[in-house]
Amino acid sequence: MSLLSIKKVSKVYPMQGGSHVALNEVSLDIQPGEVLSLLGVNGAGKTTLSSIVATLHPPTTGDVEYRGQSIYTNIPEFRRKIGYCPQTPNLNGMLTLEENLIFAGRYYGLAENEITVRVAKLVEQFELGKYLREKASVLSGGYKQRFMIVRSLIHNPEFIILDEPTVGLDPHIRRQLWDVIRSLKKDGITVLLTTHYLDEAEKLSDRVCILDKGQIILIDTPDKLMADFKQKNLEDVFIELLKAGQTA
Amino acid sequence: MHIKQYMNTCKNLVWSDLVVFKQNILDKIIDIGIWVVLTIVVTGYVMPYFGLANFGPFQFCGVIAAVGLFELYSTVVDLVADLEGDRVINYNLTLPIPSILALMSKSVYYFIIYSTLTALMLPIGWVSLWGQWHLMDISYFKLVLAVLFQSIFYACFVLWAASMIANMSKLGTVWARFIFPMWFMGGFQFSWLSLHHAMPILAYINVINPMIYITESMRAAMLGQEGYVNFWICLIAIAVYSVLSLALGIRNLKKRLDFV
Repeated sequence: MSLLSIKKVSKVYPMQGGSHVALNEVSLDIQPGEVLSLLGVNGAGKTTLSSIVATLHPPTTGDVEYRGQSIYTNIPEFRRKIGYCPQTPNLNGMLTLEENLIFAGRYYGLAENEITVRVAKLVEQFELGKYLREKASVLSGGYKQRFMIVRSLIHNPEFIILDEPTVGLDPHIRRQLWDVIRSLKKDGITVLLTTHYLDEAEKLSDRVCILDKGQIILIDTPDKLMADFKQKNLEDVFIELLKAGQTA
Repeated sequence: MHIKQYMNTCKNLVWSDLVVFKQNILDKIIDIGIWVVLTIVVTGYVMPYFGLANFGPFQFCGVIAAVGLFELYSTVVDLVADLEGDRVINYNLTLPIPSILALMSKSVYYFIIYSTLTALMLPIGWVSLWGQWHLMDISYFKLVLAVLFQSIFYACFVLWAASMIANMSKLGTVWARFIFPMWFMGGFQFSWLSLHHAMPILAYINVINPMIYITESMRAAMLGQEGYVNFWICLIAIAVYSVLSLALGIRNLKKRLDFV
């Protein structure tokens, strides 16, 4: 059974003088323990889809099932099982990073000793110890992003949604975050990764899902896509697809 | 079981906000204290020379009623800044609680800060009015109820006010359209009955102003019922306005934030 099934999900935003279809009947299954990347140009619907799966926003139509049950029958219970790291860091800038993490643990009902152990383990794993007493507002983008990932992992989720975690970061910081994502997979955590870096998707994903104008146009393993399109890398596959879309 | 878990999450949401508030509480007390003391100095010690006897205690009740209203401005600024910028609220809306409870936790936090600041201003005002006002005149039971009800109203009203502000550049609207008219027409310088004697039509229009009930209930509690709108009617009106503000505020914010 799939861990998560997205079933005919659409999202329509009302606009002055009409509406904008951000997602159009998107259906997708995510298997336990896999890293699935959502790819697409800006405005393709990646962030909309990930925020719907994270239950931040509701779909206009359609359903999302987790282990065969609609997530909307018990949203808080589903939220306990997932970790969500949005594109824009939203740590509480008036609290220290340690306080941010401790409160995150408390929000999920973790015992104080459990929080202490989790914070210590994750901070060590992500090499963030020296910043714990700092306020979030003083950190650089890369460290903020790492703390965001740590915060989303504090309650030991089965499934994590990372929305453009490496956008705007220096190449060496991006590589460090790749290691983080690989270690999540090693720990058996299912990852939904939103990105528009094709090299990132190629190196980290078990499968990639290419979105365009709110619709899935392809979903498969990176190797299969490169073989089918007779290309050396995912970037060339993507360019081929865009050309085909423009021609069509 | 679920309710216990939800309450735990909400308690910690409020607590994390209070940790931030603790960093600023001394500044808040000084800022509001200056306003309270100066108002009392002018109305309690200067105005009697112009024939306005016993105006200090009367005015002090108006000041105490409006402490939350003045603090409300900075709260709306913080909330709108978050809606427009950091979006910590978005994180709260993905926590394992029904989304509506994330917003209601904010209101509980605002209730705590408004009631705390109001309670802290009471001794400052009493000391400033030394000898002009006797502690035996106060109905302490009614005073506690009045402070609680006004704080509940402000805590609910802040969600509605923030939901009405499209972005940071429109923040002046909060003061010009909400806080100033509510305060200036809300009985700060006059009682509703005295306004009714002088200008009945204006007095009847003013019954839609929630502030009139807040100031009247405060005066009924601190100076006695005579000459003011019935204390219990005031509490009922404040409760109705609180429920309306909360319901409309959550409805508007749900639309704006598009949460589940």
